[in-house]
Parts: sequence; C-alpha cells; structure tokens
Amino acid sequence: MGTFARKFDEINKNMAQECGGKAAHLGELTGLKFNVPRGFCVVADAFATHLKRNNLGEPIMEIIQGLDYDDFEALEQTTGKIRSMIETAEIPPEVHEEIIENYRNLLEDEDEPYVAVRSSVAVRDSAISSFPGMMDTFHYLRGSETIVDNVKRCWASLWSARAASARRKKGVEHSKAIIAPVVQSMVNARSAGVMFTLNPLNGDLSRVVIEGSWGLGESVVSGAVTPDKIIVDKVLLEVSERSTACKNIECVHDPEKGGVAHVEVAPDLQNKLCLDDAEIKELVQLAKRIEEHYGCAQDIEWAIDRDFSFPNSIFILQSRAESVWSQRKREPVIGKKSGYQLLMEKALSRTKVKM
Amino acid sequence: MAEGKVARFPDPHEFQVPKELDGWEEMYPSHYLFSKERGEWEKKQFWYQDKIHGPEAMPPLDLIFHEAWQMSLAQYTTRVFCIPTAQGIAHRMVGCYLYVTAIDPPPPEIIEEKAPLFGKRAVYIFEHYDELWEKWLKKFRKLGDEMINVEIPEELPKYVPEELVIPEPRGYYVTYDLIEAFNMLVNQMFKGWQYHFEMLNLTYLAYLMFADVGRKLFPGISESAIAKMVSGADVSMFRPEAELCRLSRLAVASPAVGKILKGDAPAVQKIAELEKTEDGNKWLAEMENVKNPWFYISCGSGWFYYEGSWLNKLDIPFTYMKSYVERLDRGEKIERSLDEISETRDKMVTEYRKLIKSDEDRATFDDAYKTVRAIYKFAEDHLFWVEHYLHTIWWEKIRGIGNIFVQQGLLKEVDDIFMFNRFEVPQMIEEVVTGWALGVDIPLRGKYYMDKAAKRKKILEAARKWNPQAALGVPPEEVTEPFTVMLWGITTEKVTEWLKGTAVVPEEGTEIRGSASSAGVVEGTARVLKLLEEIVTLKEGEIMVCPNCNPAWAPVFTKIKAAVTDIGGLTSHGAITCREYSLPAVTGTGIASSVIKTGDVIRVDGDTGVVTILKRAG
Repeated sequence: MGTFARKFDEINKNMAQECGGKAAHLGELTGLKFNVPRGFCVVADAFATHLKRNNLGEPIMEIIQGLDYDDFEALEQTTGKIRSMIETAEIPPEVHEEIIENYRNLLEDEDEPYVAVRSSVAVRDSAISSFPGMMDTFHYLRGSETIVDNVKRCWASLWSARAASARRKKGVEHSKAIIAPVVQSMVNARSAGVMFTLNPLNGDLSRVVIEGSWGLGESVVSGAVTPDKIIVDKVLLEVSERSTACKNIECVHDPEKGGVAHVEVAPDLQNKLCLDDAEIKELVQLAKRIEEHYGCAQDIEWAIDRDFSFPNSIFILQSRAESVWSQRKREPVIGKKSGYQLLMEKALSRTKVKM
Repeated sequence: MAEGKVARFPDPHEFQVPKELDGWEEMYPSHYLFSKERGEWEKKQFWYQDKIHGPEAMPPLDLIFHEAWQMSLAQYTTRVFCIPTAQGIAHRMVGCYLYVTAIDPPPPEIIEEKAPLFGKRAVYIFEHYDELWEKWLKKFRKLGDEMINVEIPEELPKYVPEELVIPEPRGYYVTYDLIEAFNMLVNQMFKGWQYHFEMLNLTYLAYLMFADVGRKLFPGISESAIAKMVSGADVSMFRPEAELCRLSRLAVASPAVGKILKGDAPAVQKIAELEKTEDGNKWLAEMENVKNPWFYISCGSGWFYYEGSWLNKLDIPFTYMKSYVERLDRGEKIERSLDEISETRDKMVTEYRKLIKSDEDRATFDDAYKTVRAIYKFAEDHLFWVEHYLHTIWWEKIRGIGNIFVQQGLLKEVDDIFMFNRFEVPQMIEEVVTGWALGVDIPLRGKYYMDKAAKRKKILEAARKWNPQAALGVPPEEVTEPFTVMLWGITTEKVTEWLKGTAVVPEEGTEIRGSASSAGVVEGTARVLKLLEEIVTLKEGEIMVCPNCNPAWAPVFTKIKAAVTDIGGLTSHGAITCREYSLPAVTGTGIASSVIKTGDVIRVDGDTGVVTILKRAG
C-alpha cells in the first residue's frame, strides 16, 4: 500500500476523509465484487503535500480573501489564478512516482490503458462527501505524463468557480475541502446514465428510475440530451414506464484530438431505446443490491461497455445516497387503520372519473 | 373539456342502427328497449356497450343470463349489502348489443341510512367467509344437480306409457312436463345468478380498497402488481386443466391408453378404441368421473350458446390430452405448480411490505391485505360455477326442448330455439304440446317460427358485421359502482378514446390499446383465433389474438409468445395465465381480433398495454 495512492480494493466506505466520497464508495463496491472499472485513488494527502511542498496554502487563502462571490467575473478570474497556481506547480516526485506506478500496473495486459480522471471529494470532519457536478472529470486519457497532468487539473478543479461558490453557499471552509482524484480504467460506453432506487418525483420506494443515453454519461448528467427514461418495479422487475427520447447527441472518444467530443448520433439510433430488456433487468438488480447494502436509497451512475458481452458489459461508476427524499422524515401515508375501516371508507367514497 | 361545451355521445333515443338490423327490437323483452316513458331518465345516463358480458350480437334466449344478473347484481349492492354510495347497473339493448349504465349515487339521506347496514352486514361476511363459502359451494352443487335432473322428454310419445297410467295414473303428463321443465330451467338459472353475487360485490369492493392502499403507499405500482398480490393459485377455473393433466398422467401409466391418446383420430374413435381394452375402460370410467363438473366449461366466454363446451366438443379436451401425453413422454412437467405460485406471491408481498417505511402504514397494509385475501377467492371461484358449469348444463337442457320443436316441425334446427327469448319459448312449448294433445294431423305455426328464426339469424349476422357504437348519452363525472370500475375499467382515457370515435383503420403503425395485463415486450406474427377449434392452426412462437380466452384454452400458452384479447381485465384468465408463463399480454382491447389479421407482424407491449401493427400480412 502506497502513501499517496490506494487501489480500489484497498479502500472502503469509511475512508472518505482520506479518499473522498466517490473513491470510498467505489472501493466499497469493488470489495463487494460489483463490476467497477479498475482504478486507484490519489489520496487527499497527495494534494496536501503538493500544496505544502509548493507553499501554495497561504497564498491561496490570501487571494480568496475579500472576494465578492456574486461578481461572476471576479470569481472566475480569482479562481482561475488559483487553478493555474496548482496546475503549474511541480508535483512532488514521490507523488508523481506513485501515480505512474499505479497507472502502469492498473491492467495486467496493458501498460498504458485509457483512463478517466475523476474527482473524489469530502470535507474534513464533516459528513459531506460529494459535491455533485462541481468538479471536473477527464475522459480517455493515456500515457503517464498525461495522467499526472490531469490529476493536477482535477486538483485544480477544486477551485472551479462553481465549486468555490458552492462551498461558500454551504458554509464550508475552503481549507477543509478534500480532493482525492480517482484514476480509473475507461469504460468504452455504448450507453450510460444514472439510476435512482426510488422515483425522485414522488419518493416511491417501489420504483427504480433509470435515465440513459448513447455514449458516455456526460451527456445525461450535463443535460445535453433528454435521456430515455425507464421506470421499473423494484419487486417484480417489470418496466412500468418506458419513454424513448430523441437523443441526437452523444459524448464519445475523439481519437484525433484526444479526450471526448459531442457528436451526432446515427439517425436510426436517435429514437431507439439505449438499453435492452436484459440490461434493464440487470441494472435494476444491481441497484437493488447496492441499496440493500447501504440500507438507504441510492443515486447510481452506470455504463455499458461495447467491448464486453452482457452481463460483464455493465459497469457501476458511482453510487451515493439519494439526497432529496432520503433526508425527509417519512410520515405515515395512510396512518393506522383497520381493513374494515378502509372498506367502509371505500364504500362511502366516490371514485372520480375526470372528464 | 372546454367550459360550456359538453362532450357527449349520441342521444340513445335518436340513435339509428343500420338498416340491415331492422326488426331487431322484437327479439328482446320490452323492458330492454329504450322507451318514451322512461325517456327523460334514459337520456341523462351514460350507456356503454358491455364488451365483457355481451361482446357479440345477442341471441335472444342468451339474454336470460343478463336479465338475471341485472337484477341480482343491483339487488346485492342496493338492498342486501347496502353499499352506501353505489346503485345498480341498468341494461338496454341497441341493435342486438347490450348496453349498460351505472346509476348515479342515491341522495345523501339514503347513503346515511345504508352506511350502518353496510357496516354490519359486510363485516359479518368477511368474518365468516370460509364457512359461508363451504355452504355456497354445497348449495350451488345442489342447484346444478337439480338442473341436471330436470327431465326433458326425448320425444312426445304416441301414447303415454302404461306405467304412468296403471296401477295409478300419475295425474299429469308430457304437456305439463315440458312446461314445467322450461319453467324450472328458467327459475334455476335466475337462482344461480342470485347466488353468483352473494359475495362478489363485497369481493370487488375489497379489491378496490386494497388497490387504493397499494397506490397510496406506492404511487407507481401497476394494476397487475396489485392483482398478482391478491390472486390465489388454487382456483376452480384452473381445475378442468388440472384434471386433464391428471388424466394424461393416468394414460401414460398404461402405455396402451397413452398410445391411443397420442393418435390423430377424432375423440369418438379414440373412445371406441379405448372401450376395447380393460385399461381403456378403466381410464374412460375415470374420465366420466371427472366430466361432472370439470368438463362443463365453455370453449368461449360462457355467454353464448354457440361457443360449445368440452362436454359437447370432446375433441378439444382430447387434443389437449394428446399434447400433454406427448410432453410427458418427453419428460416435461405439465402441471401448474400451485406451491410455487403461492410462494412467488408471498415473496412478492413480503418485498413490497419491506418497502413501507412507517410502522403504522405497514400495520394498515397488513390488515388491508388480510381483509381482501379473506374474500378474494370468491371472485376467482364463482366464475367456473356460474358462467361455465351452470350455463353449460342449461344449454344442454334447452337443446332437448329445441329437439322436440324440430321433431314437431316448429323449427328447422335444434339451435334455432336460441333465436327466441325466454318469454317466447313458453308460447312455442304451449303450441307444440297443445297440438300433440289435440290429436293427429293438427297444424302448427311452424312456418311462422321458422321464418322468424331465419329472419333473426339474418339480423344477428348483420349485427355482427356492424361495429356498434361504443357509448350513448352523457359521460358521468364520477363512477361509484364497484363493478364499473373493476370489471369494465371505465376510466378517463377509455371514455376519451370513445369520444374520439372508434373507427380504427388497420394499417402499419396502428396502435390498439388495452390493459397491460402481463409485462414484457415482444414482436411476432399474429394468429387470430375466433373459435377454439381454430387452435390447431396455431404455430409455435406465434402471438395469439382472440376475442377472449379462458381455461379451456390453457394448453396453448406453452406454444405462444404473447396474447392479445378483446375482452378481459387484469384478473381475466388470459391475464393470469400469461403472468404465470411470463408471456406479455394486452387484454380488453375491444377490437384486436377484428382489426388484426393472421400474418400481421405485431408488437405486444405488456408494460404499457399497447399493441402495434408493424407489418400488414401480404
């Protein structure tokens, strides 16, 4: 076990303070034998060491003092300066070495695989372990130095304008923000998206709601396309609603420029559901197992890799506690009533047929 | 709906049926016709065609079942169990089709008056359901036996047999016998339908109550999930099929019997073969034991005389047994596993229950479930005994009377008796027996009746070709009558669709809507089966499209990929069976079997209840 990097199978859900929320859960799921793309986490200490070695801590705090967060231009300019300080500073050699070593050992059969660098965050001494959508993710990266550069970019994204103002709004001290980037083998996504183990619209716990689109999940998360939506009965595993959206754009690998590009979806696929029945069923079963393990409703990112055959093609990219309904106190919906009482109510009620 | 503009269907008093149906009114009793005296009330109601019980043009004598249920259903709702806000369902005939209307709730003071009566009576039934069911079954079997024992003379004898005169004249003879026989058959049918609703209204009410609980706890829960939680495994509608499985196993145990059953000969010939051996006779004796009551099952809905039953179409059970024996030979299991079905259901209920977060809600769910389960079996069991068992006995007896009519030259064919309503048949009996009594060479009005039968058959034929108006009158703002909601599934969508008009043009892309009765989506070639006999044409992997299907059709479910029916809700036999076999099903489409043609490529979406024509047959 290294000092600055930890493989997923060395991480569990209780390690958010060290690895950030995302890595903690990816580690936990890896331990539970879910199909999680191989990866490792550049632990929080690595970033702390980077700041310390380059003497960045105090200058950053000075820069940020007195900033008007509502002045968007100033915010962008100030945080941009911080980001560039983080990115241009030289990474401590021992951190550099560990990242490269872990990268090269990520897969048995490939020295320089395609990976994604994803943020994994937490707040020191706090239960907050995610800032959804606040930090940056980089896809289809390859080559040791590229990976190191992107870990730095990921660190720097802790100071994206939106992340800084989100911390401000939530009253989180900047100095307590933890970032521990995840370097993870790339899923060559045919389809991807998110799913909830309840219906986010009404809190119905008997549903799993899946949203998905072609290509990487970025297009769904970012709202670039209206995704397909599939609502499934959690008990019967039956689809109760299936709406196919017109998905004209997908986010895919751009082999020429590197990274990803948004491209037009082939016309015959635009109005085709991005999942088949077997995949839907498998996703729901995975969602149920994850929810059961954590004991609370989950918000899960998934992807289907075109290079693997079903069911090995289905990857779990992230799982975290669903944030809206889970925090509400569950009031009784009906309250204590006997069957006969309910029968009497029914007999006295008038079933409305709206015209 | 835009204000001030009331969307409505044609006024029943102004509505005109096609000219080819001229004369249809005289086929049915007067109280079944729209009438001036009741015009004001009739115009205010919402009348819709009852596709569940009267999907086809109504033969006049078959209307007796509807006459019987109109009064019985309403009686239990309004005067026996006194369901506070509900009233009955009234009937009218329009152009040979049955239309029904759920009557508005009574005034508040009546609702108030009924509430305590309902509370006491309904709770009593729920608390004593099991013992009441035992009693119900006993008295229903007794009624069936009584009907079977009604004697219809095979012919009107030239002279009354001596033993009826000496040593002591019986005192009444065949003229009276025939009059009494028909009267008894009518009375028994009415009584059977009185029994039919003994606990049914409460059963449906309990179902609706539980469905409400389910939907409150799980807003997205499907109707089919609720139906699955409530339904039982050991249901008498499945018993005929189970008996065939048992007979097939018996046959396999005795290779000679098995071999005969596997052959391609018609049933009569197979029986003749079996009679030649000891084993064969033993097996036949066993089949005779089973016949009453389990072969008294209609090959169709149970509502029309011409559908036939296993009893008079023995080839149908024999075809099934042939395939069962073949499957047993291949080492396959042919029976439904009752334990497995019950276990699956219990597991499912446990899982939903686990999803309920509040202890209070969970306790309420438990009690609501206990309440509906206590009585729901009635909904599943009564169907066999009334619509199949009793109706089948009745038709066989009525055919006996038809036979006399033919012998006496009143009618051409036995089944022509069904062209006359139950008020007309007594006149015909009277004429026949009086003519016989008057002596020899007494003329009868045979031509009058034969012409009438021929004309009515023509009208019915024209009615079958007519696509009847879906609804008449003014759509209601609310429906409180439990059957209306549960059986006919009258919903906003349905009425709106009717308002849009019902002319469906079959072409590629046409969508037909029904109930999403069994989940899953498949595409495949359609096989339209109007009659059970056409089952032989069905090929492995086709999608069955039929007016409706019942347990008599059970063995086809191992062959097909999906099922689409015109009639039937979530708890219909087709829906239950499809769920068991995990086949997608859309039921209650109203029109699928007339719009879809054999060979069409269709998609059946059992999740959403939509059937799409993808490619028309060439």
